[in-house]
Amino acid sequence: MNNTAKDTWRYAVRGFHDGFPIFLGYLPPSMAFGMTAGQFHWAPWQIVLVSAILYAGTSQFVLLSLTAAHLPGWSSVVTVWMVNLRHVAYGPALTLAHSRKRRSLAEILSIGWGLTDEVFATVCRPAERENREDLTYLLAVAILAYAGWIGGTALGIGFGQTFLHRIPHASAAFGFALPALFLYILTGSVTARRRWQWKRMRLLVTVLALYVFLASMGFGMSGVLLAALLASGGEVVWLFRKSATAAKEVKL
Amino acid sequence: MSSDGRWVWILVLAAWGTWLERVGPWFLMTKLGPRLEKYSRYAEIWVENFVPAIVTILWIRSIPVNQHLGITLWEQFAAASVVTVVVAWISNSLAVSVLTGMVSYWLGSFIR
Repeated sequence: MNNTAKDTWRYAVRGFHDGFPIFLGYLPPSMAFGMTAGQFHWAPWQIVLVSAILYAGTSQFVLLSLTAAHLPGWSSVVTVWMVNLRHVAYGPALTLAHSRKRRSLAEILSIGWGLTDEVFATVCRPAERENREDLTYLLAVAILAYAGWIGGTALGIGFGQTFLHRIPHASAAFGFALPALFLYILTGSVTARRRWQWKRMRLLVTVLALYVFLASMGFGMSGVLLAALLASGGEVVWLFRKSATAAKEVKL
Repeated sequence: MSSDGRWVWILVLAAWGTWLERVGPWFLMTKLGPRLEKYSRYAEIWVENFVPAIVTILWIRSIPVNQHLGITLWEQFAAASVVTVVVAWISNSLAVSVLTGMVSYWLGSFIR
């Protein structure tokens, strides 16, 4: 095996390793979607098709309830777009995160479909700085997450109720997979070399306050993106002002 | 439900829009990229802050508030969260942290 093939294999293994918790985390919500859509009398092929081509957790449930309510088609479509609006920031953030490599259109098309919240958060961890430059790594994470979503949907259609009845509290265990994944990523973000970075607490408090405020104003899912953009943008402005003040003091 | 074909075009348009939201801005940013080199330091800081910011909100949204949250379920969620954070801090392993969190939450549901 030559070096390139070895590297590809190494990145693929690393990608599958990092994608596995997302795979596990996607099983319960996608199973829930499969079960719920079945109760709305959707045909199994329709349920799998929605998971396969829309592939966006919350908005699939939104689509389910909107079509069941017989709302005008355009309002259902636009609502789904609004629910997923936060995704517009993920691609640009990935570009800014690795300045050494510019992705081609083909690469963006091959990864873009799989850029969900969890995939983005996993590949954007500081520890993955080198890995996320590699297409194989990104594809491995995205494919395993996608497999979890499609597999969970199919399981939900076929065995959802049976599975939940056989294993006591199984839904509880799977229900905590995504919160645990987010907590792991957060822990990595607020620590550096096992030391807590207290300056990050300012960011977390700010983003929470902004999100609560925007949610109370009725912003819904678009409030997620807006709060994150404002809080992270605020940190950059704060740092910019701080360095400008420091530069002035040096001049004086 | 799908008899009038309405369902199909709603799904197709919703999926196209979602896909464009993921791909379009990314492609535009790669085109703008070279012009943004001088701001790369600030861009890096922005990304470093954007990721924990969005993950914090996603974590808050993942709390099962739609269930009947008794005090015991809050305790169970909080305890499993603490275990996950401690294991994440010690092990620095994604898989170990998530699996430990899931097991501790699962065990907590028996106590509850």
